Amino acid sequence: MMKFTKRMVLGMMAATMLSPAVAAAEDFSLEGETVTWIVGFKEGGGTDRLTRLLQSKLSEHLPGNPKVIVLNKPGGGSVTAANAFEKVAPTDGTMLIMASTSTFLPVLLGASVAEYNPNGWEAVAGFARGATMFGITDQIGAKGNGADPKADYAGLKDSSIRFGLETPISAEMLDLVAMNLLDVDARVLFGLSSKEAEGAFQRGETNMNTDNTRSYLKDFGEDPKVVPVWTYGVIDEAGNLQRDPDLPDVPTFPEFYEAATGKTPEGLGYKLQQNLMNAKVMISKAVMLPKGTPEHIQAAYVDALKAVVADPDVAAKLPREVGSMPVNFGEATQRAIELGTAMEPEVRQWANEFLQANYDSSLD
Amino acid sequence: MLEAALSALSQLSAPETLLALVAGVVTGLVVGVLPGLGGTAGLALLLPFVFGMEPNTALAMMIGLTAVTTTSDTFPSVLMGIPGTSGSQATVLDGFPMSKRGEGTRALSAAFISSLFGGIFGAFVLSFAVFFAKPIILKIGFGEQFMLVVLALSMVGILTGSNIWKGLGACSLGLMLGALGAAPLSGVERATLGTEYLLDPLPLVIVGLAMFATPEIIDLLRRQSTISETGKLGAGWLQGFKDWLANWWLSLRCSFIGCIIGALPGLGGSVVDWIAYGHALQTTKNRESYGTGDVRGVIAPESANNAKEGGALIPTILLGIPGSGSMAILLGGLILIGVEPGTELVTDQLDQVYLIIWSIAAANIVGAGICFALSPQIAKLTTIRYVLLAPFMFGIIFFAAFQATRSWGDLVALFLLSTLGVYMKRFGWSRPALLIGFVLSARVEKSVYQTVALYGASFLERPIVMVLLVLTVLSIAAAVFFKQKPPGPMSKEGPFSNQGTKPQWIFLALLVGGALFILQDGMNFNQLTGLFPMVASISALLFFAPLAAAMLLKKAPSGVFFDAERVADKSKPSAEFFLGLLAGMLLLAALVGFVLGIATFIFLFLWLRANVAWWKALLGAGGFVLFLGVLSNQLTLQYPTGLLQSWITLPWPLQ
Repeated sequence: MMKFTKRMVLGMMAATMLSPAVAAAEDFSLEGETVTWIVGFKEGGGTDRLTRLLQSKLSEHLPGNPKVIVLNKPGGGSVTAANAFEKVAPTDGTMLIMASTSTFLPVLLGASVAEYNPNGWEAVAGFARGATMFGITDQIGAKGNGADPKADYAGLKDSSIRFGLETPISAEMLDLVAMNLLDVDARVLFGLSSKEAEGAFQRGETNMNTDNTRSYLKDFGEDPKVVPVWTYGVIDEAGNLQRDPDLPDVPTFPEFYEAATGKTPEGLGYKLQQNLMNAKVMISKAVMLPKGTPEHIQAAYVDALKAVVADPDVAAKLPREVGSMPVNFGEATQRAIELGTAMEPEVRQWANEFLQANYDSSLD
Repeated sequence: MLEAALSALSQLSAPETLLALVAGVVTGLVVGVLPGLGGTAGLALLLPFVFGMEPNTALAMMIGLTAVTTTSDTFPSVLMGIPGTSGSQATVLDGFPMSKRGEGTRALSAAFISSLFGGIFGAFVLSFAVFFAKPIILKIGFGEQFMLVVLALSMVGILTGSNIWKGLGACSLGLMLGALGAAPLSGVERATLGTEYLLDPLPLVIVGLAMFATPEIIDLLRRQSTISETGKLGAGWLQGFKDWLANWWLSLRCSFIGCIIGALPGLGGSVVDWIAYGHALQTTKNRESYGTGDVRGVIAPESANNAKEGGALIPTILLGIPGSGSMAILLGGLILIGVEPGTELVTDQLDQVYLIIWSIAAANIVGAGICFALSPQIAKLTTIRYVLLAPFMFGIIFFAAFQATRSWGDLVALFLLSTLGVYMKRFGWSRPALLIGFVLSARVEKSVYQTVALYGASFLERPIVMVLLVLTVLSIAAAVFFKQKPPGPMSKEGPFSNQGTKPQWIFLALLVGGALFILQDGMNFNQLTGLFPMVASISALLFFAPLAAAMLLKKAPSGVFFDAERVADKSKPSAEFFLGLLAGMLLLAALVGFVLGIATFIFLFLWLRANVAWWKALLGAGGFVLFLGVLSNQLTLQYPTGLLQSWITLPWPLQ
């Protein structure tokens, strides 16, 4: 066996210090390797489709052009895949995960099943996806589209609002909190997947629906009877909330609230809403490498994803999946994840009281 | 319309589109034959290729695949008693007894004709439905969906087996199994037994395999040397065709049922075969022969499950809302290639809609043709010594179970539920009843709540609800007036004996224990989470009570008692022995990983039990490893690893 002499150790230290990160990045190559891209959902869903769209060009833009495969590992709404990723993923750039709101939300809500911390993972790219609340105009007493939010609000208050959700403890808690802040007494039907909720809405059994902006535009964009009442907007690089670029006329929720009530939204409930908005909209999907992946590998992936997103083939199809919000990379994504996965204790308590009082549920 | 139809036909007849269609059909047939893999896995297989393909070509390929998985899934259902996909579980009930009688080819032939007819019927209906079905589908609200679920549930009445309480109890057991895992209304985890696996409900494919495949394989191993009792293949495929002709009216009715159920929201595709089978039982003569190898029991579900695909495409195309699991992924595929389902597709791109319709029709013809051509050869499997097949069957069903969530939990769940299935078979509890209860459990839970929350009792005033209510009453009446023939000789020595009932009591006590556990767990939660498990377990207990009373009071052999073990050949190893072997296989897999574990099991089984020369046994095991390896490559799978793999990295295909 080789003996480590003091000289050798010093030599190795020096070598490490001297080799700059840039050189390492140039040396980094995945030639002949297989990169496994974990998706915590079944094939054909939104997360899977986006992954496959990016996968089609990722190999081209990674150093060494490795084979890139998508591995679907469904279970627990991506929690199972994320737990496994936390425990066993290698840090040599051969494994990455497509996280989504469903991956981050259990962390934000402190669910015991989530045995991972996505803040420890290394973010490569994040995809924001707008969300909106829309309804059947003559049933909800609102004209929508930002024409007259104050009148819309009065209409909402006077109508019997019904909408469908999967479960109270989900990203759609955002909509429950929104209704609560506005003091609109809405009847909520649980146990409906987003497709089932859309079916109920098409049948007119519910009269409002929540969905991502892109789906709204595709399904109802041309239908004058169905109008968006508010969106949840998008947070720009300076940290300010801006209108959804796909629905520029529609007020964001705080704008709607202010126009309707004459007050700016504040308090613990609004803080909860902001947390949920970050998790649902800003980190709708995120490409992540395992904890401890060396910086030069992260850098290579950020460059590769930037190139993939700019690829004309991908750029043409991307809006179909996530709408036209700008893609964020590296540090920016990491910041959004931080905001979308941490909740102040008082906010959490407010959430628990809210859930307990209205839905006989709690986060604990 | 005609113009669009003709233009679509000419598009389909372009060589590269036809070639893609055939490629899709072949892939569909392969995934259909392999238990556990169905349209969902098949489409997943195609997705990577679909990118960058011409939309028409990709469309033909994807439709070709989805249209035929329920054609070829008949092979394992009929020949092996293993449901090929969840769409052909009911086919096992009569198809497999036919194979055992040596009529495998006849059953297959009747099934393929039925599939072909159902498939074309589905395409035919779809071609008109795209114009007028939207308002009809939009009429099916929560109340109607609830009544559809009730109607489906009423099919249990006619499938209870020899004792009504056992049948209803089994159905409640199914509902209870559906109550494990995350609650569909609140997302709260209930009765997870502390496992990550039960965050989601149990997968249907595993429950289906555990109820039918494992008990049948073990039963056959103990009783017969070949699947075909005569060791021969009887009357051929011409007979099957005649059978279908004689029952064309049943086939048409079941195709219609399949199409409707596929198209309407509320039931989903996986219960279509059971409803068709129940319908056949309710409406035909000489019903006592069902379950013993009656060809009508094959024709009914096979007509329905292919017709379902055309039906399920109606809401998928018209509303962008998938009618079944495989439609959900097809919808994903359509969006990927830039085809956006919705009414605009019909108004603006009618030729694309017709391309889909023609593809279904063409795929059904090509698919059924290929199956016909292969069936005489494949049916010969039933004349092979069964000990040679059984280890591979075990390997395949564990592989199939693993496809559900691709985790260790799948294998463990299959083993535990298989144990339940083996004893249910032994003690005469209706496994179809359990399966229907399980398939419908989440639907029952959701639709009752949603209907009551939205309408209260006023939903009963809706016209479609009333029609469904009448149908349900008729369905229950059919069950009540169903004259059961005496289930067998009531002798002190036979299975219905009132002596030596201790094992039956122990089994019943365990079921009661399970129900009490679910009940107690359900009481920990609020109404949204806990109500359903409580209702399911209380109904189970209510059905167990009269059974227990009858067992106590009856002093003579009776239909309340059943223990197949009383007439079993005691010189053959017990069912527990084979369950023990499976447990051993799982332990082995925990040590050396799934692939090597199963390979070792196959080798040892062939060598020691089947007395095959060691090198041949090794060849067999090696072949299976290769089979798993190819599939892992094609489907990007990672098999469960064992202790061994945590130390060393093994090369493909041994991981």
